[in-house]
Amino acid sequence: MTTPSPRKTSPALIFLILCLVSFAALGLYFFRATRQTGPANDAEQSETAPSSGPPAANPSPSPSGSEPAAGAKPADASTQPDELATPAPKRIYFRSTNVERGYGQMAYLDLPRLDAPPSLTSLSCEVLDVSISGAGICLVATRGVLTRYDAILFNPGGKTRHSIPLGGIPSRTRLNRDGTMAATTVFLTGHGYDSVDFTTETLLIDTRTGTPLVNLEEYSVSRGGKRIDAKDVNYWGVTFTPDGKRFYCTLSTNRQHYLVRADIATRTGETLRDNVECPSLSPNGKRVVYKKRIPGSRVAWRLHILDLAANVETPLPETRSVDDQLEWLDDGHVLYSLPENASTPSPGTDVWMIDVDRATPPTKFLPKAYSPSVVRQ
Amino acid sequence: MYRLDWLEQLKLKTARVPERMQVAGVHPAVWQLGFTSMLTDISAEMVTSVLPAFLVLYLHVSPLAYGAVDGLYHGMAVALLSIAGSIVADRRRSYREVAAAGYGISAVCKLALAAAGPAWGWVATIIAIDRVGKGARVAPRDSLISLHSKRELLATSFAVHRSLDACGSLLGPLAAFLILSRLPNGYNAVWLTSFVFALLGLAILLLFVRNPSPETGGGAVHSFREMLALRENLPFRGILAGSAILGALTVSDGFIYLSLQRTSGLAPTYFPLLFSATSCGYMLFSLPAGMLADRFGMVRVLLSGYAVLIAVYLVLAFAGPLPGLIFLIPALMGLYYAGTEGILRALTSRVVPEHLRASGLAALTTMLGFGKLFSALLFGYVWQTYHERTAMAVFAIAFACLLPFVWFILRPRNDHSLAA
Repeated sequence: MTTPSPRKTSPALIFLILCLVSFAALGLYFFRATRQTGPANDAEQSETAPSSGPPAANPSPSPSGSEPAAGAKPADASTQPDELATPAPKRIYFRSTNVERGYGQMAYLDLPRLDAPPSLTSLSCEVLDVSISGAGICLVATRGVLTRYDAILFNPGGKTRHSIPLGGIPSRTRLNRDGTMAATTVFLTGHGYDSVDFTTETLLIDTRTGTPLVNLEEYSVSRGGKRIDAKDVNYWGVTFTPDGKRFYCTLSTNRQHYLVRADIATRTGETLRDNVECPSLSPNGKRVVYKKRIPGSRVAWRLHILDLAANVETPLPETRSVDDQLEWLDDGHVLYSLPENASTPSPGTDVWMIDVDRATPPTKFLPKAYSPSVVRQ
Repeated sequence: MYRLDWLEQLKLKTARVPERMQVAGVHPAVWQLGFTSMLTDISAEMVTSVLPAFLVLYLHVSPLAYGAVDGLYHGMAVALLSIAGSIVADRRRSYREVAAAGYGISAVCKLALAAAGPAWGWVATIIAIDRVGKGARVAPRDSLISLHSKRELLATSFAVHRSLDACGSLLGPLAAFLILSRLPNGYNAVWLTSFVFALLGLAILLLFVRNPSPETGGGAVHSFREMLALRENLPFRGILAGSAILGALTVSDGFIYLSLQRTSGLAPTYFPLLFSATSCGYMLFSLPAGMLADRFGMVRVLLSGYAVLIAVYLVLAFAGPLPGLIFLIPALMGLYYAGTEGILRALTSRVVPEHLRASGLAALTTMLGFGKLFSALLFGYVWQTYHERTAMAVFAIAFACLLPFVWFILRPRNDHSLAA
């Protein structure tokens, strides 16, 4: 009786031990992971109060007086002073990617003092853009068993004014200069293994009413006088012209990527150049920076700048592959984000700056930041 | 006539095993392989379900790069590798080992995800290798199921396995999203948990499942020529031709759910639930369908399963935005999977000689794959040129016309082979 039993029970025993060991190891990992985020959250809370002090302590008179700033507080952060209502002359909003402090939250810094600790807001954004008035748009992922995505339109006080459900994972967002219109790009993804190819959905949104105006797929875009009527058309990366009447964006069809200039009133557009992705128009509307695919490589890009009047394209002196929609700091400098560490996985990204007119190497502009948005006076 | 035969057999007490005994008669190895697949599917679906959000929100991958990752899923190389793996499995009678290699590759890939750099290229490569692992293991694993099963319980055995497999697909996304709701950026926790499930699945295979004893098979294959002689096997040729046609008329799930979403106006947030509901239906209907197939004929159940798919096309082609659609379609899709996926493997196993089982099953999967490739191109073309509803209607009509033909090429030969 004893002879066959050890041989028979041993696989079951081994399996049981393996189960216990692996789940114990996993349990330990989870315990450590939750403990790591636990104190970080506490620290973040204690830091939020003092760091939001300086902007509140020296308030500059708010030019955007439609709503009294003091009354406009986010409902879920009633203890925080109002941070967004007092836009200083030059301020940069961004998504904090600092895992130790305010990860994922919208943060800001006032321009001369970039080495100061960023002021955190109560909004958590995947990508964001803020207009002159301090009102803006923030694309939010609410995680759970079913993750939902929304575009939050907030007023200068940081209070949610409108919330628009999005159809997929947020990728890009931009406001026009006066903040009356927003563009959002999301990925619509299947879930199964053999699902359809990726698609994007790019919407224009009226920020005053919080209603989507149009899906860019309804636009009529022509290439060389001929209308593009393929159904595999995808749009992404909108950038508005200073007058707010037109925009530039990427149109992709049949594995080609075109720079498109479109007219908002007539809902028409035309392609300008091939192999252009994620354009960004300079504040004066004269130049566009974008990423351009390196021939032969599917997923490596180089940054280029295009002088619209002269139609001359020049590469920028950035040797790394940048996969971002750039943001202009002023008419001579652009900002973009790169992973903070090129070899190990980390949620951190840094914002870099490059001079578009000189062959000087890029410099690190903001550590642990993503999706910068420059607010100009 | 077929049914009368069965009643006649019942009177003579030679009818195939009664229902109660059917499940009890399933070999323990089939259950073990079922649990291996369940754990592996939990592992795989955990990754699949969070991958889009990981790429876009964590790695900040742009639309084009995302498309490139997605495109790597479809590869001819995977099909060729799975055939090569099956030939090795047949020649050396090492089904367990080849399957274990496939499961092992996928398990290691989960661990590699945790160590991959933020460059999306690594992630894409790992996912491609993971697909190779999946391609390599399927046919040897199905061979193990069929070689451990009695002839009259083939469909029931596959049904038990597929039911457990579907259970894993149901639990995987749930596990992943539970982890992410506790740890918002805990993708590493997802990969590590996924790895643990994959490892346990592999452990069940290695610790419990044995290759079938040599006397049950016809001995190892001696030459490649013998393998090519499979071409002369008429019932098998019928199944290959039939499955190519069936594959060519099968619209990919992605299109079906996209169409359903547009018809019903379902909020995108709930889109993943359609897949979960389908898995749930598959899990529940699989066993009854398998048992019916063993009692009343596999071809009958198989074609009924495809008839359900035609019903899905018709509903999507003509129905308005009815509120019940979002429940009806996943239920029908579950029923369709239950009636076709495992049954087709059981049907193939019945006609392919034991010593060529893995090669035969791999050939079947390849034919189905070719068919589906053709279907995706055709469906995409009709969708683009006309309308998605037109495409659904065209496929429904074509399928309804060709179904009797498929019945014709599958049915008679199989009955002969069953009698033989």
